[in-house]
Amino acid sequence: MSAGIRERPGAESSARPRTTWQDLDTAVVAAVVVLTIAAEIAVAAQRTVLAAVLDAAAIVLAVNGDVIGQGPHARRGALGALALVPLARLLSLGMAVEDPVVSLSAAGAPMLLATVLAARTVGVDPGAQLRGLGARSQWPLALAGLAAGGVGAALFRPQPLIADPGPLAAAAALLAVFVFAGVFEELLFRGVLQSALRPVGRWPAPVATVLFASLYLDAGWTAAGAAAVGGSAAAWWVSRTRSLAGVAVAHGMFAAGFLVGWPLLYS
Amino acid sequence: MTALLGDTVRVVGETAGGLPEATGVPIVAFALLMVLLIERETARPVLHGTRAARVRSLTFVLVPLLVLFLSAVTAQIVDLLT
Repeated sequence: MSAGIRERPGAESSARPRTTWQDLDTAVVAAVVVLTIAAEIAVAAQRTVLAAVLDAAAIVLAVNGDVIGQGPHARRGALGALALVPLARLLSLGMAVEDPVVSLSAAGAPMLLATVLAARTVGVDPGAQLRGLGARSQWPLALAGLAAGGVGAALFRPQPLIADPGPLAAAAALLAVFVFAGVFEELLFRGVLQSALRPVGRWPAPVATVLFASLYLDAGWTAAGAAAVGGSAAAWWVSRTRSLAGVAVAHGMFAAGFLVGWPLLYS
Repeated sequence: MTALLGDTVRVVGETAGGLPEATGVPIVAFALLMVLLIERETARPVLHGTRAARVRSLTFVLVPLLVLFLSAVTAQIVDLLT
């Protein structure tokens, strides 16, 4: 397995460049990203079985790259953590049922557990990250998420996530969307992946932002573009403040408002 | 917006079990679970040290797949009994 692969190129000159563990590491990251984006394009085209096969291939590649590799990403556990993105899509498709809130909770709960376990592997403490909400700087961002959800709902008029506007059903839907959109997605992309993947220049973990945006391709190019912009801003904020709390609450309030709260009020 | 609940997921949910597309995804997930479990068991006696620790730490990938497997099997059994 290690034939032709070494940790660093030696001082001696060679006519043929040799593959390093870092090259292999980068190739695995690139292949996982390409497979995941291809799967998301298949999801957008409603080719769900093809998407599942591509996601499964990405997961096998990421897991094996993590075990075999000795590059910087493999040593940090980043390759294994990358498997969480195609895994989230596979689970959301596999656990889909008629009730969207049940679908979201059924896929979100095991993925949140997996993300918390992965966070320990890459050295992220989810509790400490989320406790930063006590900091005054995090609250304006969190409240801006609620306002942005209202503006978005007024502009795009989405269908309410729940047909029954009873208080119990509405509360359950608000909680499910807040936890499994806000907390889960921010913990995965801005917590685990951003910590495990390397920054490029002053851009913290662009691979994590690209994967985050690709998961919204199913909702259209506008949504994917908005996710890319929002994801980049959230990545910058987390790298600056070293806390996930503000972006997690902002994302949760935005999603819960956009999908449940504001549509119910408007209707 | 949430990544776990896009338009396609909602369409699949509305036809859950009624279309080959909807049942094909759990089959792919079961095949993946089998591949990962077999790899894990075959690698266990071969790998040592850091790599063995990495294999153990990758349990987080298996947990959601096991949940999907159990829920799909349970749904099929309930469907057969009712």
